[in-house]
Amino acid sequence: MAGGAPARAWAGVDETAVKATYLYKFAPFIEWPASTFASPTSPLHICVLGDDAFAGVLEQAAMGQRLDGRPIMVRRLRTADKPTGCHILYLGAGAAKSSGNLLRVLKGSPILTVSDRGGDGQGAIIQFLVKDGRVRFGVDLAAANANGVTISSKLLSLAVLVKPGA
Amino acid sequence: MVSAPETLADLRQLSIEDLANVDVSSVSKTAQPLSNAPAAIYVITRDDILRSGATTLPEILRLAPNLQVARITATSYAVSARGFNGSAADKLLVLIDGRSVYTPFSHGVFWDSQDVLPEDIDRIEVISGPGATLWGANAVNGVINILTRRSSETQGVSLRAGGGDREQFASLQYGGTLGDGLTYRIYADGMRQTGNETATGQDARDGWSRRQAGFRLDWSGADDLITLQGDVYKGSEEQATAPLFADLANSGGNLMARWTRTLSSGGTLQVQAYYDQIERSVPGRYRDTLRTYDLDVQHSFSLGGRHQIVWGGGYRLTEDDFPIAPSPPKTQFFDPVSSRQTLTNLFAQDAITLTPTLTLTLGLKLENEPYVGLEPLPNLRLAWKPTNTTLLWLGVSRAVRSPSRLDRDFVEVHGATVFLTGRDFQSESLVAYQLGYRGQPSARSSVSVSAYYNVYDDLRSFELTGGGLPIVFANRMEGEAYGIEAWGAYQMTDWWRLSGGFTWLHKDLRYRPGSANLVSTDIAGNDPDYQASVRSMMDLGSGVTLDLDVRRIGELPDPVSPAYTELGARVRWAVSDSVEIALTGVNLLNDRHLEFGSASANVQLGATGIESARSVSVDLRWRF
Repeated sequence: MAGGAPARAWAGVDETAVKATYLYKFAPFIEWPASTFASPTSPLHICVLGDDAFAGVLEQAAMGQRLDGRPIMVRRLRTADKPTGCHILYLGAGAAKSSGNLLRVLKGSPILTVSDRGGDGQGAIIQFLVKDGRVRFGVDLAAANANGVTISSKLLSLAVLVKPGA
Repeated sequence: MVSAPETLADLRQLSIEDLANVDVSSVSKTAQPLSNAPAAIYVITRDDILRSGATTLPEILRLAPNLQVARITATSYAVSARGFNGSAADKLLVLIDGRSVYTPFSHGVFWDSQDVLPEDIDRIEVISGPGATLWGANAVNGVINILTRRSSETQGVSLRAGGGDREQFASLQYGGTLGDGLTYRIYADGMRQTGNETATGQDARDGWSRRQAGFRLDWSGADDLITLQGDVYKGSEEQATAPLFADLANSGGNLMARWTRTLSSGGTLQVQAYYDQIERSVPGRYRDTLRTYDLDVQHSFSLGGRHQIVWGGGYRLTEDDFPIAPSPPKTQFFDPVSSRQTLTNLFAQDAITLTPTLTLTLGLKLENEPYVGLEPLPNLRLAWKPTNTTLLWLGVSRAVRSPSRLDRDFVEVHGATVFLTGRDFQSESLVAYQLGYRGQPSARSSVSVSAYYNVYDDLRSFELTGGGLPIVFANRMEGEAYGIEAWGAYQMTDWWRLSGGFTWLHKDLRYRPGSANLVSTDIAGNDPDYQASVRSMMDLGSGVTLDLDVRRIGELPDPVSPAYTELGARVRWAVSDSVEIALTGVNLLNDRHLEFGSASANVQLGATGIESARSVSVDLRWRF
């Protein structure tokens, strides 16, 4: 009898796995300033702060993935680490306390910042959110402009929320 | 594994648009990802279904390695998990968007009454083993949970038409938007299948046709999801067993409303109500009308961070009317002819996080059955997840198959003598011990293995009354069934995926002392010792896919059906974003093969001796 909903209690996919997959699939829709990469084959670095479990999943997810010939590398950051060389920075729930400060410090650096909905998303360029049981995201264009990263219109069309640029 | 877009390798195949449509089930805070479910669960994905080209539910269910599916006639299938299979296999719960479709008449499923447009299916969760505590009544050996997509995911026009030497089918669907967060779809489909043949090449008179139409309306607000959906259908079937009879007319419909609210406290409340009506009749012989009214409420929330609680209850009222025309000297009837029954339940389950890697799940459902009263259905599971990609689980559960109308109210009279009657039949019960492993040994592979030891008691037997007639339905069979289920998938390359499954089952059933031993214990179900399958899925580029599947099914003991091997193949070409054409071949290895025994043996299991033939079809899809 109690059909539909209890069933849902075991349904679907691990949210973490979906977010990790998004993270490397965002890359083709992002344009970083030309100077960001040393050469056409130098790697794209995705850095993770404040969620080691997520980093573990992302390492598996991104294994062997490439972006236009660039290998994709995953780096785990400690709170004190400077995110130098990161192209995408994911701020996990564990980074919630420091993320506000960090995002202010990073303003102007060519980094695509992404926050988990559990963290303090204020200021990150892309914020994950869960809508109707689906992992979606919002985009803050002002923050993107400030960091000099360009987001393709296709990615924007998938965003459930776009905060316009200044 | 769980074939779903469950593994990272599966997710890798998705476009970013598809990723935005993956259900992570955070609707409920209690929701746990499939990879955490401490159960033998296999998910048939939408992609699997579309690739297979299958048009009917039983054929789609062949994709689940933990189900046994055997075609008895064009309209009748034996579908079960962990054995006890027959045309009215009575230990399975089947849900379509939360609507239970097993019939209280026999506790089996009329597969010819169930239809869902394949492209509207989001996924089918197949759980082998008991699921009574959470899913509901009759979930003894397994649960099949069919979930369709929200109408927001099926927007636009979709047209499919196809056919071949044995069947023709067509469907048309339109999905639109009515306002902010308010979407709908409407559809209609129809199909016709040619009759099969017997081993001697005779027309088996099991051809049939069917048409159905329906809709689904979804509204999603900030904290609410509301769904309203319904279907109506009508079909006509030749009668295989008695050429004298007129065709069987099969019609019905259902209407369902479901409201899910995310509470400010973070919990979820869901209320669901449906009405379902079916009518099956052979003019001049019988007319079975069943009306079902069902209401379910469920609340899930987390408590103190360590407890994930789901609790709720349900009420179901069924009104069944089953007049059968007398056919002296042998007459069968239901006493009473009409029956009004209620089935109610209360349940609660707590998933307790003992340590970050260890979760204990305790659940209890109290079900008030129409014939036997209160049945406690407890469930205990322990899950250990030492890494993100490894899950070990074990469980002990009790489940019951409560008496059906057939078990209690059926009477057969020969002249003035009562020959067979229901009377005192009680619930059949199961205590299941299970353990399993599920994991991803590498980023490219996924594996699931589970083992079970099932202890059955009070299984149905046929006994004499004081050494003579009438024969009565009783509960003097017992025994054990144990087995292994394993499946896995391997992503060979970006464009080639292999998956396979294997099940092995051993049943050891016996009559208790004092039983009349009238028939062999094989009457409890006709099951192969093993079945194995391998599927290859290739994306050849330029929109072309090539899929092959091979299955080997062991011999069925009684009625005997020889072991067989069959092959299916499908080539699909996406001509453009909107047009797709496919060529499908099924049962390619044999002209004809038998799947569920010859007609000569017992009627109880429904064997007919009808064989399934090789067939080829072409289909065309158009979406815009």
